[in-house]
Amino acid sequence: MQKFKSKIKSSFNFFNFLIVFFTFYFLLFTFSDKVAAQEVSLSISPPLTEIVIQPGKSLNQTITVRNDGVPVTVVAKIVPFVPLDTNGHVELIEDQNSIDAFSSWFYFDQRPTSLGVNERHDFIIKITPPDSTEQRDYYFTFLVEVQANNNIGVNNSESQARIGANILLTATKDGNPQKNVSIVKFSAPKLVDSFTGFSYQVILGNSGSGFFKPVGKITVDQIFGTTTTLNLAPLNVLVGGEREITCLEGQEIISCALPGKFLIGIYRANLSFTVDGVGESYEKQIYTIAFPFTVLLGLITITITYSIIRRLNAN
Amino acid sequence: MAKFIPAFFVLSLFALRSSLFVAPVLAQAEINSPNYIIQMPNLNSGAGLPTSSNYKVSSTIGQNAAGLFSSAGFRVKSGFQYIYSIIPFSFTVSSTSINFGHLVALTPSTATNTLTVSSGGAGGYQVKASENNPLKIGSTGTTIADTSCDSTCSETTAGVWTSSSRYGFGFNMSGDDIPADFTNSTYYRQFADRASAESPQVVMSSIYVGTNRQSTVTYKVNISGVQQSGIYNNIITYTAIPSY
Repeated sequence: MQKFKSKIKSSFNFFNFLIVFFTFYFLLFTFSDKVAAQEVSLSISPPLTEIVIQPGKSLNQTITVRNDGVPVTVVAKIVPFVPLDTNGHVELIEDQNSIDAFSSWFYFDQRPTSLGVNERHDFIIKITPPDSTEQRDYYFTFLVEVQANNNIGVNNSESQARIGANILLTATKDGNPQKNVSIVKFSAPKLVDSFTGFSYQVILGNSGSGFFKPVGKITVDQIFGTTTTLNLAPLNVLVGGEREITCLEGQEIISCALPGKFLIGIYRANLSFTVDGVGESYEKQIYTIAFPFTVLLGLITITITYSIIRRLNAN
Repeated sequence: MAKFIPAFFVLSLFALRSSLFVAPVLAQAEINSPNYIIQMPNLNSGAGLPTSSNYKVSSTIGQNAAGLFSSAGFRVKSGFQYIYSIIPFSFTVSSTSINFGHLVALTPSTATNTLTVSSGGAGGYQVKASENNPLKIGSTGTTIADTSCDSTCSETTAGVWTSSSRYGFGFNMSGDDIPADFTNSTYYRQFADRASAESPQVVMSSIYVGTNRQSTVTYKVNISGVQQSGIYNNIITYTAIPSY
């Protein structure tokens, strides 16, 4: 009986050991974030900040950087940008004179900052355009740069990562900067085959003193048919630039394509939008004709071929 | 009682581990609308609409509103109007150290890493690349020139590079959202050389929301028999920025 009890006891102790061991294993290897060797991984939030501010006033904005890769040391700076293209991409202006011209506007920690794995850091930026600031738009990118050096004694290239978040700033005394809008392009093919489908292209321009978002839609009426509504994505159109406006479905950016696998007839498309959802409506109308040209061409070809064969047989 | 100590220990460890993964709550003067975060100074959200001598406040917070609050001379919006939450923009570079090993004349050496981007809004993103200088021996300044491919290529336009008698340093791209001139694995570009005042060039871009958009960069070095021996290094800078 004593031997039996001690056997039970040792089995139970062994069982406890197994529980502890496999639980450690489970916790360590299934919930641990995987960090690949030498992988630099950063995220930044918010990716876009829009500010309207009186010259001479101040505000604080927080931008959070999180490290999901190997431990790194990062340095932050603010760099002006201009629009690169009509798709919302930026062209950084990184010459030191351009950066220094705005250095008095921004106060934030520019010292090297160490970030461990899964560590985040809040950069608190105090933004103060001077009293004498001209009333117009200013565009910046908050850039976080991983410090890199390359002196490891082998032939190599060192990849350095930088990640940015954009800041759109409108300096205005009355809070209502002038917004001059132009419809640079609203187009679609005039003639399409019924089976190919087509998309609408919308490009807007801004010659005012403040950026804006179009709020509106494309309403497509099929003559003697259905009506389709395509909602415009409220994308920023910067001063002095043009922006191609895509469409929006829920929270997804999509192309402004007319849905449907087979189109036939005359389609009247009406572009209609307001600036930032207020004020006068801007409108433009275009037409597209859809016809089954390929089917018709096929039938004509078949008919002609059949006629030729019949004539040859008759001869 | 002693028999249950290991089980208690394990359970308490599990509870501790789980608690470490609770996201910290950042203290900020802000409210979350269905559309985006609005930051306001000294706001009591139950206090009605504040006004100032500078602005008349018109703030509507609801499903379809572009509501703004202005006070104390500024108003701020963070995020994108059509996206219900603030989605961070992320960028990953794998294998930051690209080792070419011992370079042998007329024998191209290649290495790869990957770039990964997640962009939750603003109609996309772009990644630009440039080098601080061509591959160079730091002490002497001797360089391996950027490739001209088999006939021609530049930092803006890729060209075919398959000949082992064509020397230099360049890169190829494959995967998501890459420029169209990387037709296949034989097409290479030079990196934009900042030492020669060349502007960084786009290597990935999109106008759509995307998660884990990934491309592979293949680096290639080929040297002639008269290339000076030494350790050649440079730094390739990748800059990822969301669209505005």
